[in-house]
Amino acid sequence: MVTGAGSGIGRATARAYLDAGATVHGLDLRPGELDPGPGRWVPHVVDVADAEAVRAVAADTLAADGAVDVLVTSAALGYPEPFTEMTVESWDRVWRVNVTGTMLCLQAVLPGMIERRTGSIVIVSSIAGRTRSVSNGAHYTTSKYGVIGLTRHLAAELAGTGVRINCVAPGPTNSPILTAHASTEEQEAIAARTPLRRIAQPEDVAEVITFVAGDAARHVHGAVLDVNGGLY
Amino acid sequence: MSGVGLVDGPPVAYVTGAGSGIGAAVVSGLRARGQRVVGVDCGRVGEPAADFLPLEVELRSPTAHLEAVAAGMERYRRLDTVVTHAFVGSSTPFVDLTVDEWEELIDTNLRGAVLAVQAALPHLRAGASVVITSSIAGRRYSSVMGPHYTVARYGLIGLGRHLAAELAGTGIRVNVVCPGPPDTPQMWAVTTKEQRERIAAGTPCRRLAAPEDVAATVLFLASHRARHVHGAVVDVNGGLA
Repeated sequence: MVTGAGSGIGRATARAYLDAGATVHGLDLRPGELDPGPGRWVPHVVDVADAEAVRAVAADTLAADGAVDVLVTSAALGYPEPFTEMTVESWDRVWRVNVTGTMLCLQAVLPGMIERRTGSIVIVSSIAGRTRSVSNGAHYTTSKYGVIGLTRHLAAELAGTGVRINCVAPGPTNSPILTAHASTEEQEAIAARTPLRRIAQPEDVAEVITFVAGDAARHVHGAVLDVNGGLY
Repeated sequence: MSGVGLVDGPPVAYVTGAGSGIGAAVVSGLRARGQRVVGVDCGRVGEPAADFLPLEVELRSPTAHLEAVAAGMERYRRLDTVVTHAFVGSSTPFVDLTVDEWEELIDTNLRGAVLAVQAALPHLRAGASVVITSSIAGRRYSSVMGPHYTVARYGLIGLGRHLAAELAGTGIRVNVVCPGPPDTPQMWAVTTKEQRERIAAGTPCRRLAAPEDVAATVLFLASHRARHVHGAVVDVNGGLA
């Protein structure tokens, strides 16, 4: 199950799992079409901040496929608002999607994973959760710190269950959450000050997500993996 | 001069601490993926083979890594990956620590890694990768080794972070792996079975890190799949935060 599967990192992750032959339940406001290749693509139009809708999608998924092996939460939004102009509505919207939405998706799939004593969760945070956002506001930065806290806390709370949880913190990525708010010149400037001299492609981040979700990372639990080309 | 075929043969890695534990698992993993390895350690490293050049070296010597890397270049004509894992352990508490003991450990664990990377760097090209193994001791402190061990492990993380910035624009990536308490001969030497069982019980994944667990993350970071991972510190500790 991949949230935010309609674009950017979520979409590249869905693509990687489809290419590996997996069934991918893609959650998004606009999940769109995706060539399933050797896999199976099941799009769900859903707002991850809507508790009832998330529960319904999880129930449908479990009824159809029996279990969720991997959950990747990539759904997020951000706005480039200065703090002094930020409205409570805007703050709430960002936190409800980025943090509450993540919490709701985890709560929906975790009981099944715990019962089967296996499962892997990857939360997508951001370099904004390690330092600060360069293109979005304080609501975005704080929400990305929040999901790292959620990862760390659940790593302890899930002790002994057989379920792993980890976090990936991408640097500026060629995805709508960056490109919607940063001009081409700004993106070039970010690439120029990144030691690897490029911004991340969504596929670069998807590689790390599928690695840490998979069995090769069986002893990686509660970790935060930076995928930022050396930009700290 | 060798032909292009030799130059373009399978990738080559320089691995320190290749004789046992995590280092040996890294060597096995690389060879299983068709890569060639120059493996160094202070004792016997393994059987030589077409894809494996084992060398017994004095890990603290300023010239040992230069000579070993040169021997590897002579044989394989390329270098793509560096994994620094060599270390010694010591559980001497701070109050009993002598300067000699401090220097011996710091020289092997930290200076040895510096010398290995320095020896290898001139041969690395864009796309090459350096993986430094530190430890959970470099994230908080060692519960079984002394303060000199902890300090060296913090230093290795600093080395990785600094090199990530200093190598900007070269296309060479540097990352650090921090294993939790591992199930290795080095760990067996300083802990009882009961201690290890207690550590495993206190770890959310309920076990120690197998050498292969850590090697899998090292191999991932060394691979093209991790092409945008640079300057990262990756914990492989089963959730033991």
